[in-house]
Amino acid sequence: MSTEATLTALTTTRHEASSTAWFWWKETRQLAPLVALLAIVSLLIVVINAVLGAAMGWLRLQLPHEVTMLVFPGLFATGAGPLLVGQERSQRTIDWLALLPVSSKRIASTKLLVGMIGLAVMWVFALLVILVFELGQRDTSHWTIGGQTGYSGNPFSYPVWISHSLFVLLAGFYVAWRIKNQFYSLIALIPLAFSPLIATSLVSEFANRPMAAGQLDWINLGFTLLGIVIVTPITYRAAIRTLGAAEAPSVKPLLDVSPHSPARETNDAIAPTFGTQTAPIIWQSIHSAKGMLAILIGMLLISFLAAVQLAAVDRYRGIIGLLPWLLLLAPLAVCWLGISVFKHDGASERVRFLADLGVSPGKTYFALHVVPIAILCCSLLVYGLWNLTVIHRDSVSSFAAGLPTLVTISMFVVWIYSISQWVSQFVRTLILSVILAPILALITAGWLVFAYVSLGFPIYGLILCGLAPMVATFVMMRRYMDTGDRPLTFVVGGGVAGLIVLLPIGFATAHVLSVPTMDPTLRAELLGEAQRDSGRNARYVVVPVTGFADDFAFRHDPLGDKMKDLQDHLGQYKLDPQKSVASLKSNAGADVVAHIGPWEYTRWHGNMMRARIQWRQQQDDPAWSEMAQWLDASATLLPAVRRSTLLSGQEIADRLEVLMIDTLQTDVPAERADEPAVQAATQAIGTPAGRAAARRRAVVVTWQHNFQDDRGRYLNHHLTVLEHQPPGLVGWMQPRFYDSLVTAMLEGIDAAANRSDDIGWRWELHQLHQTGGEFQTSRYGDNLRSLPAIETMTVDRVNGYGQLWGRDWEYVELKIRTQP
Amino acid sequence: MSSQAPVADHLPEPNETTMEPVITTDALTMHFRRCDALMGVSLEIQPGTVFALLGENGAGKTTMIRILTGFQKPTSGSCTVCGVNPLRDPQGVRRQIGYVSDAPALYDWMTVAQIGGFTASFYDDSFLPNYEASIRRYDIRPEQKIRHLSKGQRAKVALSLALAHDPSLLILDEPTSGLDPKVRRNFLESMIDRAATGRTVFLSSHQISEVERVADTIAILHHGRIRLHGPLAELRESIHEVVIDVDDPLRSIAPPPEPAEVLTEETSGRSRQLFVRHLSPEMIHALRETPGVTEVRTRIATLEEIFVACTSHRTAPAMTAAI
Repeated sequence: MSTEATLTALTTTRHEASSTAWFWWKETRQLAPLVALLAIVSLLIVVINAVLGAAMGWLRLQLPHEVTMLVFPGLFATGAGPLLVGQERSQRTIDWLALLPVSSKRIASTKLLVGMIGLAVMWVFALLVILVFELGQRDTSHWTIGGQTGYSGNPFSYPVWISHSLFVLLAGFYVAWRIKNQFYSLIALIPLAFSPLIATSLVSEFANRPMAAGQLDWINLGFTLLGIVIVTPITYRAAIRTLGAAEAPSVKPLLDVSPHSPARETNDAIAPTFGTQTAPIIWQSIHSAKGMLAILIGMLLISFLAAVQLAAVDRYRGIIGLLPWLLLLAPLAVCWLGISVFKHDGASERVRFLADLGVSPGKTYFALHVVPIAILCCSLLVYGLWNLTVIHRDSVSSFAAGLPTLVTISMFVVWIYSISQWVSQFVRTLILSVILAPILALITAGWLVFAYVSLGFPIYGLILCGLAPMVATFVMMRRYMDTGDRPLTFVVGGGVAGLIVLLPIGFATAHVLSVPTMDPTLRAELLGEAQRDSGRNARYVVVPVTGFADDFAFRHDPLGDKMKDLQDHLGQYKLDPQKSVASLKSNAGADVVAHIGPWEYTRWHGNMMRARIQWRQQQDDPAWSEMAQWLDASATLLPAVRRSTLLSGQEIADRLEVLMIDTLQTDVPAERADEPAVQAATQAIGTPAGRAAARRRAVVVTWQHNFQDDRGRYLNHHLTVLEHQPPGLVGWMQPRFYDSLVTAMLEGIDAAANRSDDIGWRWELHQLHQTGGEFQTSRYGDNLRSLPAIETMTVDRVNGYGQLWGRDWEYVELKIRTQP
Repeated sequence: MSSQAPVADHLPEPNETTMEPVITTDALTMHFRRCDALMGVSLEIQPGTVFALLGENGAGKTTMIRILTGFQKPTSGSCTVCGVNPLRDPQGVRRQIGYVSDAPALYDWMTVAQIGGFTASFYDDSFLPNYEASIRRYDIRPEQKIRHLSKGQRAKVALSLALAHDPSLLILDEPTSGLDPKVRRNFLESMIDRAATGRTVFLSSHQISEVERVADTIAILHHGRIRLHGPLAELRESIHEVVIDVDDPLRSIAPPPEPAEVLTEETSGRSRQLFVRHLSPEMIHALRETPGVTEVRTRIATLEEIFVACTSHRTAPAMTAAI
């Protein structure tokens, strides 16, 4: 007897263990699609972040890294209950499961335990990703509560997130056990999931004193834990009730009337009549998902009312702080309207019914879309009309000031709806569609916005990408109606995904390639030339120019003695030219290159002009002496600057030469023409051929160094055309534009050397520097070039190279000597 | 017309008197919001029988099965299945029965083998070999996913799952829909074999030919009430079709006297068709002697005719007036 009992116990134990293992396997397997989906999408986002960060540098798409990871346990918690319970109820497999000799308690507890362990796994996964990819902020602990910026702006307190996701998981099970319709249960879950935040906001609203963010964080945690304590037992009770025998309806008919009695006739029993063939399909569309459509319209309305309220307030404290969350209902409703096309309750039967009646795929497609699209159009119309009445000013409301236009909103609506209806066609289950569609819609919208802003993707491309999923579902409609859409639907889906991803990249590539690159032979030739020129053993001398220092603003003391400051600075402004060129003179005869930047040259130019003005005013020996010193120093400086292999050096040499020619022509009297300073200055003036050679050398060497100096700084040069290019493509287009710049400048150098009238190079430089401007009135146009060069020189910075090339000053050397 | 056949009408066989009924229902009533699914249904089903519950669509058959399997509480009344009240201990009932619904909802992502292994884990060691043998017999590949099976194959898998633990009571709701004729025939024969080994089969169907082939006992459910209940052979012997030709279409004919029971009557010109229970030769003779009656023809009614008679509303005004 005892042996028999032992054997029985062993057998029972083995079977219990076995059935538990099988049960866990089944539940885990049912969760697998959700887990895989979330894991793939989260990793995809992290990888996209990493790739964009590496490829685009400062243009990195600012997706919130750790939030992205933390959202996924939340999404898992949202989906676990509906998937493990709601789906089983809707597919009636729960009835089959309940037929097995397994207690309701065991079914309920196993499902809940599997959900909780799944949630724990998701958390471990999320935290591992955060750790491995070094996301988050290292200087703050995420395990503190209320230690940062408050519950609404601080989504990074892990204890709060974990407890809230557990609450959402339990709430998800509760609504799934209570409400059989999966969609309605998800709708019910939304307010339930947010209830701790709502309660916290209410406390904040009705508290008599302002509350610190940390306090609110603690209150939120408290409400969440309270929610867990409340929801756990009622979830269990709901499960036991659902798995038990269904209650008989308590309502008893008042009269025992025959099924065929007229007393039973209601409006529902009267067959509707329709005037057209399309009308009944639309009628069917409305009546087959009345509840769902009503709820989605309600969500749109709530979101709209929240927007109206937000546009009228300028601070979001207390209960108002919840309104931005309500705004999220609108995109969610748009998304779920898209899902309702193929995945509302009875949708598959409806499509089957229409297919059996021989209704064409086109008409069925129209029937499925017409009501959601009509709702969206009406919503957009309402938004557009309301937007016209809103005052878009920050002073009224920052929300109102930033309201997007109707066109922008419409574009987002098209993307979200299109992607969602596509997801609802190829994903088998409603729950997975409901979770996957918002994520994919968000990623798609984010990608297309990025493509538009950063890659210059045109608007018609955005529309094309938005409509591609609609076309895909239309193409698959016939097969979908005949339930033969697989595996072709994945091929078409891959095509759509490829189109959405690759089309912007294709456009961007074409845009980049539209800028011609340099001929490879010419490139090799110029690089060889640059190699030779940059290999010279010239000695670089920095010309010391004192005066206002670059960092003056930083040393400026707002509380100091203003008069003393002024005197000091004025004193420093005066420059001794001989001191500046002393080192150049000491190396006379050697191959010395002077290094002087645009700012330093401006100082030089200003001081020399001051000396000229002083000479004009005083006409005495001291004034002449000072101006002569400037002429002498300039005569030393000019050849040394002209030897520079930097393009900026050549620009300064040009300006200095123009200044010297103007000085010699205008201010040097005939009786002083033979003075050494004048002679030195006259001899320093170059020839067109000499300048051309120096400029060519500088152009190719600067180009070889990517228009940067040895310290990686841009040589005070900026191509305006780059400002008009999509920011994400600037890095790709810049070398090509510099190729064009170099080609045009080399043509310009040749034209200047030969005194040619060719304007091709000037047109090209104009395009590169003044995109969109009128050529003739531009810096490279004839109008400006007909003026004396000295009157058209910009100071302090370079607004495009080559403006002084080939103008009259280059050819006036003899006039100086014949001046009376 | 009789509204309900009392349980006492069914005289038990000598060997049944000592056995507890496997199913008893006592005045089961089920009101839904817009219909009365069951109205005071009382039944007793003896072990070792194949019981067929016949009824039109919407007659209340599935509701009754749901109550018997503990999925639905009745509005009033009580029942026991295998001596257990399904409302108090549904698990106790489900442990002893096998049930196949008309549209079995199986996990379509599982393979045939997986669903067998999963279900077997809740039963004893004999389940899996039985299930595998059944699957082999039905020529279904174990590695196939349920979602890729045809309707008939799904029905076979569901049947295999319901039978593999050799339940003492098998409840089948439209069991043969989707099965091909050959499998259907084998299956029905296996039901007879089960009954022969003392197990009970509760069969809900409107396939009269099938029921005729296998059922020992039948009940006809119409508008929530049991219209006829008893051993099939006895019922068939007791119900006759009577065709009476009269000289004048307007002539009124008195119905056969008690204990005869007219189930239905239809008039076509000078001919009247009646289905009568407990008809005796004396009654036929009396009808022939009735003035205006030119001819009376009788024969034993088929089960289909009995079913139609019990579930139709056709009654002749003249006969009604006469009654």
